[in-house]
Amino acid sequence: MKAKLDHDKCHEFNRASTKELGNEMIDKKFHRYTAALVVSMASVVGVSLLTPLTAQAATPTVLKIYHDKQGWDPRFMKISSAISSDGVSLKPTTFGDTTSYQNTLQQAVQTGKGPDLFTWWSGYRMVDGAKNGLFADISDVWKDAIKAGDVSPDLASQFTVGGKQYAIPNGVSFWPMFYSKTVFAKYGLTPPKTWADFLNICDTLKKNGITPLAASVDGAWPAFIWFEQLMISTDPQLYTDLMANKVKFTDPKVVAVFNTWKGLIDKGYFTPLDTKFFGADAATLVKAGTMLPVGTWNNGAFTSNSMVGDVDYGAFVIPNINPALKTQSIIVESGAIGAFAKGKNLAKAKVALRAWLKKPAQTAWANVAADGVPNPKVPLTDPVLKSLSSYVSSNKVKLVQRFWEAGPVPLIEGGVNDLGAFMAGTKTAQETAQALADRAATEWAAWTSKYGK
Amino acid sequence: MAKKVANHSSSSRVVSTSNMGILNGFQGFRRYLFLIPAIAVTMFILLYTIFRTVYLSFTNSEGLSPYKLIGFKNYLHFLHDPILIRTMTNVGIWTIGTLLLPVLLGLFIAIIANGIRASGVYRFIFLLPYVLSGVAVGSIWIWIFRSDGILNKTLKNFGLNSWAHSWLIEWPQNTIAMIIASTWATTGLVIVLFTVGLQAIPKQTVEAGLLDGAKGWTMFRFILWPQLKYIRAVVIGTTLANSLRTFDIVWTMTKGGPYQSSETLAVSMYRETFLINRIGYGASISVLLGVLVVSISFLALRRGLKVEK
Repeated sequence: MKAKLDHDKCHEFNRASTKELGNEMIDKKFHRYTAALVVSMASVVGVSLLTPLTAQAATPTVLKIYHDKQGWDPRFMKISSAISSDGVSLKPTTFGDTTSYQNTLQQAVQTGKGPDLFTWWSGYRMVDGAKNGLFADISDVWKDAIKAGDVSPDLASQFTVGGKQYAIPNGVSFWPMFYSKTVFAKYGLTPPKTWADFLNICDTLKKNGITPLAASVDGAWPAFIWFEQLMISTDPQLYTDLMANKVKFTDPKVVAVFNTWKGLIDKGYFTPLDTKFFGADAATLVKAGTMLPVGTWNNGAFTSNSMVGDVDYGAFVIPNINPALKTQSIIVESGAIGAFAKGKNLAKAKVALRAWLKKPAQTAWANVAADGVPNPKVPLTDPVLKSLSSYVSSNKVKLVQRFWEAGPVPLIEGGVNDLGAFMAGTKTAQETAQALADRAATEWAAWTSKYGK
Repeated sequence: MAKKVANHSSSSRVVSTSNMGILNGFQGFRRYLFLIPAIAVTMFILLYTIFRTVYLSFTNSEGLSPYKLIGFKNYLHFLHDPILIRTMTNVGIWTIGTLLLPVLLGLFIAIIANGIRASGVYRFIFLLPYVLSGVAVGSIWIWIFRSDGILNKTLKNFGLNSWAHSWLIEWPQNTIAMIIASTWATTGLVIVLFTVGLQAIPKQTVEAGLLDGAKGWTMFRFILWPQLKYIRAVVIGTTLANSLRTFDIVWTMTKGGPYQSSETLAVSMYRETFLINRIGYGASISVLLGVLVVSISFLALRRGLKVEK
């Protein structure tokens, strides 16, 4: 019995001493590992502290850019590569739906959490955001870019709210008439120089079973395309005054434009109003011979749908209806890139916008988008764009702001419905003019009471 | 002594029982504590959003800019809005259309399919479109009803050129076209619901009817129709609610256009709130829509589910 107890005690002692020994070993190991860890960490910290600042700057700050433009990620990545030497790069996030995109940015203003950069719309569409903390003031970026000759000062007005600039243009798109060179050649047609030429082309195409002109109310907004076009071909100053609320929509000259439009509708020149207008659909229309008034931002869709610029298709500036006009006019549209006012990398975002307007980034954009850019130093390579741009500058074609950005949002959004009703034939010229005039009176009053004149 | 011990034992048992009661009561109460997070989240998600919408409907909120309370101005504005008549007309067409087409068609198919062999397969085929979202349904049917769509092409191929129309451009064809698309998507569920109702009718009732010589229309009118009372109320109630708040198919196929001609209340609300940024005004349409849906559905269900004494 005693022997057993001794054995147990001995065993217990052995177990205890083994445990202590083990603990001691673990402790030693622990200390060794801890020491090694501390040394490693110290080395890492030391190395990073000792690393020259120039080496750290080689890693660009990644800026989040939100946008709602399908298929534009490659454009932003090209810009990202071009501006990386300025210590910034871009990480684009696409929003499939424009409405949810707008909501996201509005919520960002409330929460303070959002992107560093974002796309938006110029003109009246950016006023609310500029006045309420969505856009950062980037007047200094514009000042430097104009001084360096990186952007035309004429474009500034579309991005100016209360004398300050809040965004840069993401491109400069003209709105010419795209046409099929193949179909024109087949029927012996050439781009029109006069309105009579233009009507003759329409008649020839129609006689040959081709719907001459594309028109649509699909998604509501395309309804303004023909209105603004016929307005600037008749009287560009009248259009500018109309959009600035200096002239009423019921002005007889405006009603006369509606009547001209009605004449074209009655001749059966236009496609059905649910025609799809953009992307691959645009290429299909032009291939079939229909002439398409659309922004040059759609130019890439032609080339990506097996059409060769200046061979299969071309673009012309629509001639004046009023022969007394000395120059032609063309609609110009510029999207906006803004910096989020509450963005945590605001200073870097401004660096990115500065670099964005410079030649390397703008060249990259022009090449990938096959569209115009705000930097006049950038040579255009796309043949259609090149000849159009050359025509615009050599003929001193007047640039006019697009309807969509040229008035208070409720007036424009409601206005396209009035124009759509006219196109569908449910309202006469006079009724449409009256509806627009009533809407303008209400919306301009609301705008003035909110933002002043 | 023995009595004392017995008393003591009895009293300790009483104390113990009473402790158990308190403990149980506490545990019972404590049980509900675990429900608090779920209730709080539900209340927040459901009630806060409702109260917030009602509150916003009395403001002039326009998104980013500061807003203030403006009383009933939004509601009064909506009552004078020219689009109200068109919107309510469309809601009326949707309501009548969805009551006539999917409900009657569903009832008809359910009765026809009820007795036949492989009726399950038959019902399954009709139910398939129901699994599609409204957006998917709209995307499919837009290719049918477009001016250059399948329908017009088919009509033209058969030499029926004059029958071809701009289905989605002209009113009320555009609304009717969308009701047809909706019918395709929702009839399957109606068939299933009515089938459940038909299968719940006691065999004896049907057999008694047969013995009395009821068949065909008489069987339907005097035996099946009254027996389907409750399931009918459910079908009509849900159909009414769905038709009143129609949004996804309309938004996908026409966006309420052209010129707002196919707009429903839900689309008007969406356009005002999210496209024009008139959040306060959109909220007031939302509240009116909510009141309309709840009250009409309530009345329909109450009337349909009323127990006859």
